[in-house]
Amino acid sequence: MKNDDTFDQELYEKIDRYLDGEMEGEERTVFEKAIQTDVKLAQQLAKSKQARLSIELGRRKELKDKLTARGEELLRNSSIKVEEPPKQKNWLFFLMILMLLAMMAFFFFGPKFTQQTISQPPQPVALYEKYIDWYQRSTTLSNEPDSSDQAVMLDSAEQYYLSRDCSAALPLLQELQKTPPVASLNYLLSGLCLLHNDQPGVARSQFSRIPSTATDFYWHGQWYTALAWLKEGKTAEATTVLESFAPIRHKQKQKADELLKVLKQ
Amino acid sequence: MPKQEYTDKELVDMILQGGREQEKALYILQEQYINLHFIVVRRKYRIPDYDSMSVFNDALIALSDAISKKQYREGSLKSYFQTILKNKCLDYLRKRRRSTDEIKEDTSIIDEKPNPEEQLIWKEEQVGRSEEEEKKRQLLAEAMLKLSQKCRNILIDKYLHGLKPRQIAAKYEDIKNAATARSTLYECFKKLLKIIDDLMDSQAD
Repeated sequence: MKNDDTFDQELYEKIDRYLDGEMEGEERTVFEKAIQTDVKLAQQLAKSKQARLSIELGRRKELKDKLTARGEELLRNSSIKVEEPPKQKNWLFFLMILMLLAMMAFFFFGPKFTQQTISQPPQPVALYEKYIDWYQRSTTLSNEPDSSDQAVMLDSAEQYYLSRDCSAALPLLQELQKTPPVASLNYLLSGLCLLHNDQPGVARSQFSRIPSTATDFYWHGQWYTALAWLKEGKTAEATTVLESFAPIRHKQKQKADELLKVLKQ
Repeated sequence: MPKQEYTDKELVDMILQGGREQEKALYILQEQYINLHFIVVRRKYRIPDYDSMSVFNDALIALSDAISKKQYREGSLKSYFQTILKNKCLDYLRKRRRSTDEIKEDTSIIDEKPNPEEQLIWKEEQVGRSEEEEKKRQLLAEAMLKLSQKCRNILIDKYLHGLKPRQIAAKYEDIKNAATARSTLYECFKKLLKIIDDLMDSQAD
């Protein structure tokens, strides 16, 4: 039914009062009887209900659109830049192309080429690629289970990190850093995510925030700081950091000594 | 992070005021509860990234509705929101299970039932809705958004915030008295009916 001229202001207000439950007694009885007999009135009532639903749904949509835009902004406006990790398929394809090119180069240039390559000192970036890994804690350091929001968030972030989803881990870690005290594990994981996201400079600043009193995390941080320097091709800086491992005993020390040896060749 | 901490009562009052205050309260709640987007929506219920924010925002709007309709009375707003959020996540997963066969593993989480307390908040309204009904609801939402901003605001004040014509006249400078408010309401409502008719006709074509 189209809206017609019978839907004047008086009828509109009458239907409104009925739907709002403001019509009482005899007036209500008469109106309800009219709905049973007057098809046009019944249709107008149905359309008014529909329009009321439209107001509610429209407002909801308007609010949701605004919240969506703001929510995306909230996630985007991270002071730590979040980058999507490269898709595995693309990575594999790229690797295959690289291998193919390497094989072609070998056959074209022969032993002379390989001889020259071997005699070159190892490239820092190649060393970085060789040593970088996804750090995993061997033991849980906390003695008692902590169910606070912060602990749950940190645990979530660690799980994301372990599943190599830094785009999910970083915003959580960043959020946690807004409320001191910040766990050393947070700085370590933030730095690692940034390192894996090709941001070695920012990664180092995260590692540098691990207090030396948190011995285990601190030396892991030092190890990855050295790798971050290597990623930028800065061998001298990496060497200095690795030399600091000399007097200590840490699980990364063996690798640090090995890498130091290669760098000093 | 919000610049200032608001109490539950302040936020509830802002939502009840409607309009910009309501929007402001929702923005604050969105920021305050954003960690639940990660912990509950993404991690616990494993809702994919592309839908997770939508589910989270649906829960915020449902919270606002519950406050406006006085369904929320007391207790921690965050706990109340968490229950709504959980229900929204389960609704989403059930809906997705019905529409696709994507979820084949760990369906126990989808079959989770709300506890008696949560049932008070539980809303199944979206679950049993057909595709045709969903389309109609979308059309109705669009119709409202085609109205002028002024008409939208006045209709929202009347039908969602329960303002009387006298209060509407007091709120809007260009509406001099209750009588003008009543006629403006009527005109806006009539325009909305017309837009709904036109949209339904164009859909039928």
